[in-house]
Amino acid sequence: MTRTSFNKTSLETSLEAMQGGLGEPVYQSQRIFRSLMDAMARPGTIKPVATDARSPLPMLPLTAAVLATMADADTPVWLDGTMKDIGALNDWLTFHVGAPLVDEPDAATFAVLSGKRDMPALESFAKGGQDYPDRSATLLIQVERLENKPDWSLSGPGIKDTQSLAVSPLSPLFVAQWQENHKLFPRGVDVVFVAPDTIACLPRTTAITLGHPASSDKQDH
Amino acid sequence: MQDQHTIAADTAPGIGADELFGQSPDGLTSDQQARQQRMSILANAPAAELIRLWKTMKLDPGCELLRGPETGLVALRGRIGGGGAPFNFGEATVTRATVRMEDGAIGHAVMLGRNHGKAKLAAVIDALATDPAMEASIEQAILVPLKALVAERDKTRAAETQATRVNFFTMVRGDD
Amino acid sequence: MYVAVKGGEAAIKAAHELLADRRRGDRSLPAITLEQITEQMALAVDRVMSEGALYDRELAALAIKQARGDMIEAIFLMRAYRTTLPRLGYSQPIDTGKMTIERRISATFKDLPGGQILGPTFDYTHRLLDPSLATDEAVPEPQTIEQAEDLADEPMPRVSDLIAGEGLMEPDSAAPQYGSDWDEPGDLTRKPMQFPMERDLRLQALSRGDEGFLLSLGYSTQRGFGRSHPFAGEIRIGEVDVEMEVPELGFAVSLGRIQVSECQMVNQFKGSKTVPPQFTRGYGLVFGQSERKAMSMALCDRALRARELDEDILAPAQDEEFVISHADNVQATGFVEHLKLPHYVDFQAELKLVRRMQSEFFKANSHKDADEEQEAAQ
Repeated sequence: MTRTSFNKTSLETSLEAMQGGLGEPVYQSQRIFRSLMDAMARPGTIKPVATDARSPLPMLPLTAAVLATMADADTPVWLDGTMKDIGALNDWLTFHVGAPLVDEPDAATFAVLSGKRDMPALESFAKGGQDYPDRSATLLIQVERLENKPDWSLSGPGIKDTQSLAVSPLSPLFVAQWQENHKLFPRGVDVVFVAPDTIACLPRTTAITLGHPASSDKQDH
Repeated sequence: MQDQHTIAADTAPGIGADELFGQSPDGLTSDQQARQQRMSILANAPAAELIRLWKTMKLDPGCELLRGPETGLVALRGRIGGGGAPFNFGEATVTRATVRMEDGAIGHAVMLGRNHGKAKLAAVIDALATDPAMEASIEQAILVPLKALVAERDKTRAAETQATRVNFFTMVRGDD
Repeated sequence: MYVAVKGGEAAIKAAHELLADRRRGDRSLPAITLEQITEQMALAVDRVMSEGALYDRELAALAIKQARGDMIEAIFLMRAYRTTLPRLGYSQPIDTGKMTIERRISATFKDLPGGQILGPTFDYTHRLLDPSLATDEAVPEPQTIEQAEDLADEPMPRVSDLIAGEGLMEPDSAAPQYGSDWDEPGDLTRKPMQFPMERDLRLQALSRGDEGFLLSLGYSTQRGFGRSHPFAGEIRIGEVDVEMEVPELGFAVSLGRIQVSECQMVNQFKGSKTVPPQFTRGYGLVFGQSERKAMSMALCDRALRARELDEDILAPAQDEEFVISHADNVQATGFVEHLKLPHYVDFQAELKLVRRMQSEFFKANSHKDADEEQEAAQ
């Protein structure tokens, strides 16, 4: 059940948390929404996205801007252990996004996580039901780099032949978990990879085939 | 107490105060109580009157908008049977604004309706009133008259409404 | 079957221009202002807010003006507008016990605390058309009384609480432990409806439901289709404060007041295997001044509690899926009015089918006739 009461992080929100919202919020959120939609429609393409949001660390400003665009009072947000108990970040999200923060991953509409090793399993998030597959979570996975190198070869709706994508750093368990997620269709989670200045999307319909990262490295030499 | 419906902090303790605040009103500091009253008075004020009273103060402070003014919806809740479990029965338009003054003071406003100018002005007044040097003059020039205006309107309404109160008198019946 | 066709753009544009012209009407008359609508067509504004499920008097007036007074079209406009706005939060449940009363009556207790207050009612008017309204004649100021504040301050307990002490009246659903949270109420604007439904969702659907539909269903329960022996326990109309917790402040503030109508319908209940005979209640709560809608809602609410109260479900008003699925006039008008959209291909298919069936019918009949003639001849 959606928890609609608001977060009570501190009795009065700090000044820091009240600053750094999206400038020209209507235009900026529409622009970001358009980028997200395009990126979701063309899985694996890397979209540069600019924002002037200033969110407390370790949340990337671009992650914060995506949340400000997509989340609101009706979309519970889950934060991973690296972000969960940071008061200034909770306050920023409460003030600028207004989304309730939840403790249970499967209660979240949006989940924000670091792509590093101890990433929680994809199956811990809401996958939607057979009747309502839309009641599933969208995962915002923060990473350092997104590159069109053939670590992965992506295929599926929105991709003409194949699309290459390299995401780092990323939990070594991710690909196996993604294959399980992909099999659940029409259920399953969707993923937005967020790097400092770019995003790339993996909707549940996209299949990942492992490429040859080593060979691509060799080509560089 | 004419304005008991307007001024949340005037609510008699024990009558649903806990529901109103999610905590005892006594749990709030006096500054918080003052802000709660202030924001309520400003939210309930007619926009034209608020602007007129503001102009009498002849202030022109600079401020930065931290959020809004923006209009959205508040889901309105009632209680089943009047006092039972809550249910959603509709929505209302609501507008909010948060400002920061040049001296760093923060002001908030949130009110029914879609009037961006009123919300921004109310947030500015809220911010200025956090300055102890300004608090009394804002109270006198703006808040007291606004509160009186609402009280006067309620008084008139009550006088008209109570004139329609039925006074029953029992007729003599039958022969026994 | 749906097939895209093009064309008609010029006709549509011209039709919209004609609509705008007809909406404006005779240019020698002044255009009606939104203030005039909110002040002088206040109950129309209330209905549009109530069934549009959005409280904003000015927007409702605009919707009425734009819809040329077509209420369902105006309600549709309000519903469409509300989808464009983000939801910023949830109010604290309004407290109708602290209402600033404009009207309050009870048909069950004559001398109830707080008194019977008629307010601005159509009751007791003779329903004779008043020619003086055809011209702009001055209207006298209403009567007032002295010391009204003292009367207004008299506590005005809900009628349902008056005999609750005797155990004769079903109490409000039991509060969870003091200070703990109630379950979050459902919201049909966020999740698709599923049946069976809890009472909180039913009340939400009824509150935004069509007044005429609920009125007729309520009437049907009185006429014997799901008898529920109702009394108007209490009707109150007035303003309530809306409060919302502001997360960045950590406390609730008043956002302003809204006008609502509330109806407590009291119904005799013979009891069931587990529940003793007592009075049960139906509840109505709607925006603005609309006691007809609040009463109809309360009658339907009570009828729809049949399952919960272990009553036989025999009448339409007791059938949850029937009532709730058809109460929304925006959904209803959408589905009924879509019939006027082009169905050329569907109809061609039907035409072909009926032609074939008819020719088979005549063929069969002519054989039969021929057989009969033959028999007759023999």
